[in-house]
Amino acid sequence: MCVFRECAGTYNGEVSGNEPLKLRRPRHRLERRALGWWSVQAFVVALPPVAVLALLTALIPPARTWLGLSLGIVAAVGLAYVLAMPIWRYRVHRWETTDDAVYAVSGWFWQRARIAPMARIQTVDTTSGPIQRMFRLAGLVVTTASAAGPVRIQGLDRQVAADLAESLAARAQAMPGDGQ
Amino acid sequence: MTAADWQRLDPRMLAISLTWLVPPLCSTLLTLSITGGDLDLAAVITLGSIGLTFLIIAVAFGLRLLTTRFRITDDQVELRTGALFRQYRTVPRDRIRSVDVTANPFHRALGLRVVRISTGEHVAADRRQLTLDGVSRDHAERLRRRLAPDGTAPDTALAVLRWRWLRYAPLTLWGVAGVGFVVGGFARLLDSLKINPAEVGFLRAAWSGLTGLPLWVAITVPVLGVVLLGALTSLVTFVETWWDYRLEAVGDGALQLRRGLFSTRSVWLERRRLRGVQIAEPLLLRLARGAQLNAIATGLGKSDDRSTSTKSALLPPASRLEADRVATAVLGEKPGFLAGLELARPPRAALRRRVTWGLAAVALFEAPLVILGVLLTEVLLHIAWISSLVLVPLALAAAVDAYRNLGSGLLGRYLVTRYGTYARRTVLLDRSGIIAWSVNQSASQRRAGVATLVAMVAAGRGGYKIRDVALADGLALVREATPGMFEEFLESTPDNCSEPIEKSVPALPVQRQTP
Repeated sequence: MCVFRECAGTYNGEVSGNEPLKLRRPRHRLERRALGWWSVQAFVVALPPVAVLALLTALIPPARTWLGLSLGIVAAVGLAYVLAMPIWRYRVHRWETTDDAVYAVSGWFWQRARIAPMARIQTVDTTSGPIQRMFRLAGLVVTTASAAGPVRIQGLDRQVAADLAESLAARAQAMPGDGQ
Repeated sequence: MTAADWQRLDPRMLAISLTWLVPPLCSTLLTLSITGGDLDLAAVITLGSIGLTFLIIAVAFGLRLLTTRFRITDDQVELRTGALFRQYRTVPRDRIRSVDVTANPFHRALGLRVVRISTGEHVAADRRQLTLDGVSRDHAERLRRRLAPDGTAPDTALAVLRWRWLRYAPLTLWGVAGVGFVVGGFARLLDSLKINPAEVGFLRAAWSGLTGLPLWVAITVPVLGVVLLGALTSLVTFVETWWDYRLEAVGDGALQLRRGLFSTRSVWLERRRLRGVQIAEPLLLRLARGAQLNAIATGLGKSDDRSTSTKSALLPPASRLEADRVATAVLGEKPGFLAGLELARPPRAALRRRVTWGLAAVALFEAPLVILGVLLTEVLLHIAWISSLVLVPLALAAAVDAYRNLGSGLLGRYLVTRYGTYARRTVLLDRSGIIAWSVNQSASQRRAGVATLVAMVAAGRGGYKIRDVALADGLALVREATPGMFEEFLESTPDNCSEPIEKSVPALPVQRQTP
């Protein structure tokens, strides 16, 4: 059995019956630069509440005990998030494309493995936010006809994402079926 | 009257356009009776604008009526409407699949009928239906005989309204919410009319009457009143929504549903757009062995969060047996199809998770009581332990029920998943309609070896969950349900931790396609 911490990305099935199936991990990891991107992102999320509480603690002396206490808690949670989330994510996130499907694993505490068959792909787009661009990264968004959300592979090298989008679009188009 | 003549709607329809003036009249009379004929400027403005709005609607309705012409030629039915915004619509006669004659009570009272001409597939959505709202009864019958397709197979009714279903109506609880709307609306009306509720005679009388009673009566009476009023509202809503309900199979390829008292709705559903059905049993309905049936079909409202909305409903709240029977017929399966449904239970870990959630919810509720009780007053502590005596067994019962409701399996062409305790849902998804999968696991699910699988479809909610299934069992089910989709990503070796992983993305990971 795998130890949970050592391979967080493995979908490790309980062995039940005579066919202990599990999902193998997708082949490719993301760029190491994604670690930097996630760290900055985590920082952007965690900073405002900490800053606001710190300001309040400094400005309102009578409530200093309570505000300081909440500042401590929020800062500790924020710090843990900034330190742990990117590494955890980096261990989990993986992707792979084959002739027949796109396969991506993402998340950290909650993880999801998404599989979209090539024949069901409707659109393939690349996206990149400002922070992602800073790290020369881009994301791939593969939509199907389902309203439950697209398959996203975030944190690819920009060139890799562009090439991938192009080849996926071409292959999806060559496939029979319209995503219905 | 020759075939090519343009015809008008029945002039009696003008009387129907006058019914739009009923609501403002009612509201004016109500205000006058409440205030005793003493209106201030704000009230006059409010009432005036309500009246004006409805007057404009009535005039627009009447104008549309006077400018509507229709004509039946050898090839098609044509309809012209509108004075300012002209509209011209045609329906080819050889595409007509059904001709409906309906009437709401106003129409009925005046001897009028609505003729609804529907075409099947192969026609753009906005041309699927053409309505002649308001012709005389005889005229409607003549039109129906003339236009109804004779070559097609007769429509077979899968279900028609049975008044005994009325008893399930109050159990859907929408009525209680409805009472809230009415009370809220009434309060706002009083407010906008600058009437102080304390000055309205009967409200003040009711209030002083209530406060004069002992406490438990003062609490039970309004609660009982709201429940009764809610039940009544549900009954009225049921009648309005499901009046004249009829679900028909039109040939092999389509279903047609018709319902409604004042606003008649009709839904045309091609079987090829159907991806499955959902049988929902909200708690109260489940206790009375009732159920709701909804279609999961493309184009019937995307990402519909309330998956029991009437938009996709195939049946009013009815008995579970009836829901099963109609579901079977809608899916085109043999009678008794659903009786063969056997679902696999998830592992005990799923029960443990539900018990934990239940107890955590109780703890979350009790924590503030305990903390404040310790800090402030002992009364809160007493409230805490007494309420936990009720809440803990309730939470445990809900957890066990939630666990017992979980299940998944295959039945013929369908993937079946069942879950939920407040509303138990049984979802049948056409396996060929599943377009993608998602395997979700939280950290605690990974430890317990279970996962939530989501089957993605291009209809209904978009994704349907199989909750807390043992991962290996779930993947086996997925492999059987959608052969080939997962194959290359599955493995049955016990361990792959030591497997070397390619460190980063290779220069170009996929071969270029030569188009």
